Amino acid sequence: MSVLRLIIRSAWFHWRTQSLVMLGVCVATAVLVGALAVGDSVEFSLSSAAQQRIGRVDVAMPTGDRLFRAALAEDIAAKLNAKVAPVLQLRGTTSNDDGTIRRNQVQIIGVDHRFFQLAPDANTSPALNGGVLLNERLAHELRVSAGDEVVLRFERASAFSREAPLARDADATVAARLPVAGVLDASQFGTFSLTASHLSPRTIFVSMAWLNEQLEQSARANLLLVGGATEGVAVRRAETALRQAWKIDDVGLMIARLSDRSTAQITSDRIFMDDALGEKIQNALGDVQRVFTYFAIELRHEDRITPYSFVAGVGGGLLSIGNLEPDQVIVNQWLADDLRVDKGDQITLAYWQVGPGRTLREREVNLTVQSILPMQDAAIDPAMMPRFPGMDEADNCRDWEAGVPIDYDRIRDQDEAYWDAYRGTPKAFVTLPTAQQLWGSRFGELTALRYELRGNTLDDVAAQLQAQLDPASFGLSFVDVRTDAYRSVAQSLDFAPLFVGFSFFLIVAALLLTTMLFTFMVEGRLRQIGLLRAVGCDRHRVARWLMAETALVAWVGVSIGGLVGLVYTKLLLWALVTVWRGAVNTTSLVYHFELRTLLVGQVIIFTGALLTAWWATHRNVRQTSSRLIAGGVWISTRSAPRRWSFALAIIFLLMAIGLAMRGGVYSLPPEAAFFGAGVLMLLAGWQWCVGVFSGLQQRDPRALVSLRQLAVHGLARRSGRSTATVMLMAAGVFLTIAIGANRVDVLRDADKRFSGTGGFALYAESTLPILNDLNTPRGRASYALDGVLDSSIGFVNLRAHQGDDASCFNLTRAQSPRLLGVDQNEFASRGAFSFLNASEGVDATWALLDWRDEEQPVPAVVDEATLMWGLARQVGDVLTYQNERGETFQVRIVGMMANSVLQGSVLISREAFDHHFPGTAGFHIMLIDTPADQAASVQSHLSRALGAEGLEVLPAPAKLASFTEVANTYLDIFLLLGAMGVVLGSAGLGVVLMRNVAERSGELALLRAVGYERSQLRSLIRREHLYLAIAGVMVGATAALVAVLPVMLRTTGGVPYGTVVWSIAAILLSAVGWTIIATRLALSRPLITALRND
Amino acid sequence: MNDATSLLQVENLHKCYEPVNGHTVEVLRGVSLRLDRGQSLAILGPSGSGKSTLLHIIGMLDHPTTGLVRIEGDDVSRLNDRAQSQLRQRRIGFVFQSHHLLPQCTVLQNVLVPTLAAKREVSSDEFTGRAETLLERVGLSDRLSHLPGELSGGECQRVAVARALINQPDLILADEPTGSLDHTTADALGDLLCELHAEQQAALIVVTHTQRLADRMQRVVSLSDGQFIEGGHA
Repeated sequence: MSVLRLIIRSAWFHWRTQSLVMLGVCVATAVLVGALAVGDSVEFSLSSAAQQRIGRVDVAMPTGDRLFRAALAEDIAAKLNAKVAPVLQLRGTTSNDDGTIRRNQVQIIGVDHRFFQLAPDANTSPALNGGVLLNERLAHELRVSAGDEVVLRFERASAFSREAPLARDADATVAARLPVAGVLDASQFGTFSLTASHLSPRTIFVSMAWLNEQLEQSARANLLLVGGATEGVAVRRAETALRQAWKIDDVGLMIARLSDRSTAQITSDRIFMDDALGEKIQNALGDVQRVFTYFAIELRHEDRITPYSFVAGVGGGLLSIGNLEPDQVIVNQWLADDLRVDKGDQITLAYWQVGPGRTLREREVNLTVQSILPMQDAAIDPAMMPRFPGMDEADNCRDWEAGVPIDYDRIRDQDEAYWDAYRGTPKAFVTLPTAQQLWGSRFGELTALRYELRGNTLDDVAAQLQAQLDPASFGLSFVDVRTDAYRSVAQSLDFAPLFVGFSFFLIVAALLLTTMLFTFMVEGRLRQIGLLRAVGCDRHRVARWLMAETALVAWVGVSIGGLVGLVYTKLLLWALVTVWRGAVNTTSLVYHFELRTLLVGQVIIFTGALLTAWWATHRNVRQTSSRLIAGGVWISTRSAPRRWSFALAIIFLLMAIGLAMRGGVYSLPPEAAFFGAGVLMLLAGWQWCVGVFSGLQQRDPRALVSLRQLAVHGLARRSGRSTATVMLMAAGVFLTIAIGANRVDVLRDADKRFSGTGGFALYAESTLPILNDLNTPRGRASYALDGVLDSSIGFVNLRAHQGDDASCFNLTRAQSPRLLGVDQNEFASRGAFSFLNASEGVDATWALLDWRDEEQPVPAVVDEATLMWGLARQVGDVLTYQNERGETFQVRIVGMMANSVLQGSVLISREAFDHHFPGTAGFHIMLIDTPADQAASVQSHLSRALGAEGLEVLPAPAKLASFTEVANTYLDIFLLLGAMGVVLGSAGLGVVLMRNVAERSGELALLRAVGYERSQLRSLIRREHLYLAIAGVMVGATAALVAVLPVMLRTTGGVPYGTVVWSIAAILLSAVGWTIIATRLALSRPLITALRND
Repeated sequence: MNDATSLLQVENLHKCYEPVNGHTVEVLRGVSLRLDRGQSLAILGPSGSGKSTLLHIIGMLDHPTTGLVRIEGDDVSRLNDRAQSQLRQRRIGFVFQSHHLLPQCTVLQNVLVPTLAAKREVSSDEFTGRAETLLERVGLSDRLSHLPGELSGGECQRVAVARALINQPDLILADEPTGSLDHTTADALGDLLCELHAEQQAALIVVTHTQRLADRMQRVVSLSDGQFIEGGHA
């Protein structure tokens, strides 16, 4: 007989035990392969989603509210030899035909055929046919299909910020009803998005021409997509092409020849220009004169008032205004006559300063009349009035539609006459510095630049500007969307290690069970091993045979386990998109695995099985042949007292206390220190068990007085086995409690300021900006909320610069997370939210956001989940953004808040926000303070009143809970897989029990013989093993409670003690269940045979 | 025939095992015996003759296929598990070839193990005193707190004898009690069994295949092929 045959026959003969060993290997393999393959599937799904959302686009130029010529696409395409598609992208809301279903946060995409040439399926050419195309998500949510109608509402895009002075709020949105021409799937670019997210956005595609028409624009776009070239298009190449192709019209600059024919005036469609731009234009053209014209509420001298006039601040140069002092004013003749002022008289100029939320503050300044300008002077020029929408085109003053409260009764006939004759010609002039000081804002400090043509044509000037200016400084720059998309997937949360972590205890439990079974099998074959040794096989050869046998069994186990693992993967994926959907927030995870994943999983478990087999084999075969032939496993009944075990237990305990109390000294966060202390407690428990069980093996001089005492003595028979069982249970309990305690109950303390809601009752987020501050009567009146909302209701308004969602809803890594501009004093005065951490040496308060030095990075705070998971950064790290002027700026994370409703965003001060994004108007997020009993009605009123803006109002605790649900779902998965491990661990308890009973069958039969009832034996065995289970729970629970102490004491959220208690109870129940089953099975066989011929 | 005066009465006992390869194995074929208090009986026979099976059925560790086992006139073979266990605990002491001592318990504790099976009128202290007396009687008074692993085979078997007597049984059943001992130790143990049985006025049945031990008993019967050789009745 060959060795191989011996091995196969041997494995076959011990098929019962070997089947169990194989089953253990199979379970471990299946769990590991399953966990790894989930990682493959998620990565594949994210990668597919990323590819589908960007299609064949390589680089893109998003310009936000700056609209450029759609024709720029053709110019660039010619230079790049690539497909270039102009897109007009807006945000809006959409509802179904009867308005019963409305969806906010919809991207409205104006496209032409060029857009679809960049779709994943380049052959797709869906026809709009005068209607709209919806993507699958939106169509599904609105429950519409081709032929139905939808109503869409979107912001009337305007380069002129709606929050800027004199911006009107009328017609801020456009609504239209259009038929649905079709529904686009992902291959047809239905999931198109430049935002790093695995989620399909809600998208509605309309004709770009139609959209332009609605916006009263002609062939404009705000997004350029470039791609479709076989070799790909790099950002640098695209920007070179852009610099060659751009026109000043693309950045909203306009050049007009003034009436004198010799001067050109450069203005912006944003009305206001910042001084830096003026500087650049001056550098490009040479001598230019800057003008800043503003609107005065009134000009007053004594009791005479000239209402609503334009006043210009001008630099020296072209206008003959002489040497004007900062506190002086030149008035035109008409005003001098109207106010009856002369040189040296003082006039008062009243004007509005516009604050956030279009709040208006009236200001006045006294100026001395320096001179009076005749109406024939060149400076008397209606072109100096900026083309404020709502005013510029008005025939009469009373037709003005300015975004300021004009009292039309104050407008006199002579004012109308002036308007008829001179339009908005400034009636007074101050120095440019005075004008900029009085009226300068984040929107700019200039309204026009004048340039003497000196024989040049306007085209010459434009060409000169195009040659000298960088379009990037106007926000026209390309981003590498393909690299960003790949990066967002590559840096995304890797589910493979996550699920391996989740399944770790299950894998370890399966391997331990396998080891246990294998050890028992070896122990049961000691006589055979002894015999082989006796007939001349050395122990290494015997060990090799046993290992070969194990390898055979393990090979079968991992082979089957690998296949089972792939099925298990499907099960996990199914769970992830159904019962655990809260963790991934998607229903589209694609089953996928790499062959190497399968092999890696199998090799790891195969190796693990062989190592444990090696340990068990060598531990036994090294016994003497005589002892092996004698058959029994050597049981020490005389081991020396293991005082060192107790000593070690005490050392571990002291280390645990030390780490818990002094962890901070070593800069360890409390959670880490206490978790480490918990693990040390577990080790202390392990040594304590070793000591106790060893101690039980010592002489106990006391007489036996009870079955309980007998059961306790039973624990000492196999002290190592007893210790292993206790620790297996303890590890399970430790994990369960650690997980359970971290499962946060956000509803607890949700009304407190320190909680994740900040104590706010409601959280509101709008699709379109809320332009008016609802804290003010004017703001409330603008939404017909005056008299509806109680005066005690307060709003904290946050600006938003749209970006990637860095919350736990997003599986991909946010590349450019959303920025929120907050008024830190609003939060500080309320004591809202809690900080967990801050840069070294700085107090963790809202003062962290104070931005003192423009040269330094903008300080920012984010919440814990965003920092750890969304960004995978830490306090002190720096993020890079591009501001509205095309400049890159740095944001340094200086503090970490506790998890909050503001998860997913980076918070900076509003001051810094406005500095970098001055054109951003209004607010997208509001945190609302309202008495609890009014919360529901406030929610209802706001949702109704601001429905057109797509305002979604949620109870803040619900918003927080939605974030927490993600983490809690992960914990649920961990808990479930951990629980499966515990079940397997307690099954191990059952296996140990059965083995113990088998080994003690003689003793148990004897007990039967001396009068013990079967039930008493069952009770005795059950007691013994339940003591082990209880000891395991005690050790595990004590260690876990130490580990989670900081979490339990943390002020935010609450620990669900119920869950923890139930989890422990479930573990105990499982242990009891397995013990009862195993006891019954073990004692169901007749014991009497053990008494026969020993 | 029901004889209430006899301690033990075995009547026409048959024991068959489930068919193996279609052939029923009949281990005992109409065995009967009677034993009074204070009597000792040795059952001799070769391996497989049914000696241990008979002893186990008498001790209610196994059930007869047919036939009766009476103790003081009561048929005990049909009692339920609880009643049989209580009867064993109160009235029967066992000694086996292997001592089956609990390795984790001391000598004294091992002797006390049978006392834990049921609540008794006797206090724990009294049991302890009785165990100490018995261990003194078997010559192990200096080994009370020793563990079985520290004893010789003969000493372990003496502990097993003390354990069999702790409940002051009426009937002692010994299954090859000296089977694993050398001659000298076996003789000593045989003497001890006889002395203790006489002292305690208990009936003693010893199953053995050694004539030396059998000769120490008052009566000797031989079992062969499931029957007592001399008329099948003892």
